[in-house]
Amino acid sequence: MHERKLMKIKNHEALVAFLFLLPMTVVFVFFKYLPLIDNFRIALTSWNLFSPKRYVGFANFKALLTSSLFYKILGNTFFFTIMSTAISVALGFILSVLLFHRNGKGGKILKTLFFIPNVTTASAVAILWMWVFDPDFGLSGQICTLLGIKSPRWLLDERYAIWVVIALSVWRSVGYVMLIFESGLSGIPDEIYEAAKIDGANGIQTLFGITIPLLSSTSYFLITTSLIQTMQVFDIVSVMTGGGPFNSTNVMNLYIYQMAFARNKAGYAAALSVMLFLILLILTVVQRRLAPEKKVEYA
Amino acid sequence: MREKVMRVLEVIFIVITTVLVVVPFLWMFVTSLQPDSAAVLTRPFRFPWPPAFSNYVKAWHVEPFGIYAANSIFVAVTATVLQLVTAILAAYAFSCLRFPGKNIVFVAVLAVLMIPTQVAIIPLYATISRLGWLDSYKGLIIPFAVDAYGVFFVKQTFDVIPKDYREEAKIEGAGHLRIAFQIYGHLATPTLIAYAIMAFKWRWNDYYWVLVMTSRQIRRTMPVGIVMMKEVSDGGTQWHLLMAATVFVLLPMVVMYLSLQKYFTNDYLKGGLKG
Repeated sequence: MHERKLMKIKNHEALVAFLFLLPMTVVFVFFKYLPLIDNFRIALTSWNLFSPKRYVGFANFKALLTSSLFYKILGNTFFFTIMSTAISVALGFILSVLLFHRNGKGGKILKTLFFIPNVTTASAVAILWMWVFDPDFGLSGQICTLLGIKSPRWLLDERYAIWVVIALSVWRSVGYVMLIFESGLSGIPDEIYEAAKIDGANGIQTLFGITIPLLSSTSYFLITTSLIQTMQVFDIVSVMTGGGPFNSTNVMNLYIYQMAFARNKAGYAAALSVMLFLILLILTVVQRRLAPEKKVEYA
Repeated sequence: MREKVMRVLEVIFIVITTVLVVVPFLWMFVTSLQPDSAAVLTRPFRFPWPPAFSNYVKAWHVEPFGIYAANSIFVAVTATVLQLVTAILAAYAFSCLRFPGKNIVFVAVLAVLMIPTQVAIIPLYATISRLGWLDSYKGLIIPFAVDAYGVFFVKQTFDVIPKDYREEAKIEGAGHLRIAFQIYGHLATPTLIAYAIMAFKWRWNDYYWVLVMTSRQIRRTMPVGIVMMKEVSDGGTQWHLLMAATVFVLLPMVVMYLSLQKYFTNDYLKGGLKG
């Protein structure tokens, strides 16, 4: 009798769990898992989004692996990703250290201010940056006119365009990095700094001997998540340069979009998506594998 | 002496950063209040007097921003609410119920975090198109009715709620649905608010999905609308109007951040991340 009642409760719980998980499962299956599998299949076709799919084997992969444009765009994507991440983590770190002990009104206002770019809509702020960097009448153009020099044509110049995009990416993320480092800093006990002071360590020694090593897991988290996220950049590049000039700012996600929806080469675009997915997968696996121990010893 | 040099360098660094953060916003405001294109070009740095607030009204009608704003609000709010509901349901199942295959299902949820929308955009477009959901609210909302982060964060919070609450409620005759929403949901309010803000921000700022899945103004949102405004004007961009539009696209998120700052800056969602 008792056992049967227990079985009944268990079955009931399983039924409730099934119902509770149903909405989630339906959405994930139809909008995450099936599309991912479908993408591999489309990558093996010469589909153009409309006509029936025609199987072409690995032709798309062969084509992209022998296309110099693909390597250029892959290179741009890595360059953009690594530069944005490195600069925003470095600047965010310096800011968090400089502002950590400033808890007065001024410090709080600055911290609030630096985070604002992070909540802005990327596409709208990209338009603002086009106006800032407009070489004729934008801020850059006007300042250069005042100084009596000619403004570089930022977004139309192969040498500078990618840096303008990187600058916007850094501008939007530096406040977030600062915030995460700050919560890392607040986890370091004051006694360690006091002990270091008694031992006669100066500011630089404390920074490299205590702060940086003890923030290693925070930095690791920030660097890996930032790499994975910036690797998928689309909005700001699409709006500011559309990948130009001469594909000097074109990145994987934008190239996929252009191939699929502007040139109707859905099969080729799917093959590109597979490549991007594999890169992200490797990054994620590396992130999980190499993650340092969560607990840092303070002794 | 060296200390002093460091101090000066620190101050210089902070001042430069502040200028770099603030100047683009100032430039946006000043331009948005210029009376006309000529003033934008010839007197760019002088604060326009009287400021042309009418630019905001004009810009609002250059593109149908009323429609865009309504769509933005409706899509972001609905998706956020759905995400909260589905996250509570799933998190409760994972955290409080016994059922076979629990670990496998949970791993499958975490694996979703590795499938960003963009890596399957072509089949997703095909799916949405086949369902007849292009240019529809369904197409903008339903694929985002669940979010793996949400399930994960809410589950983590539910995990630390003592079992006693559940047992007591059961004795009083509460069903699972009531326990999940009224007791667990209530106890996890700070996490839910922090998560809702994050979810709202993601949906509100989204550009890519709306760009791909809509082609008619009637279903577009602000982030796409402002880019359309820029594109149709290409060549003769009316920067004072475009900047006015940029102001009202950016403003809601900034206001939301300033008024709910503690949920942006606290540790509710950074579980396991200290140190």
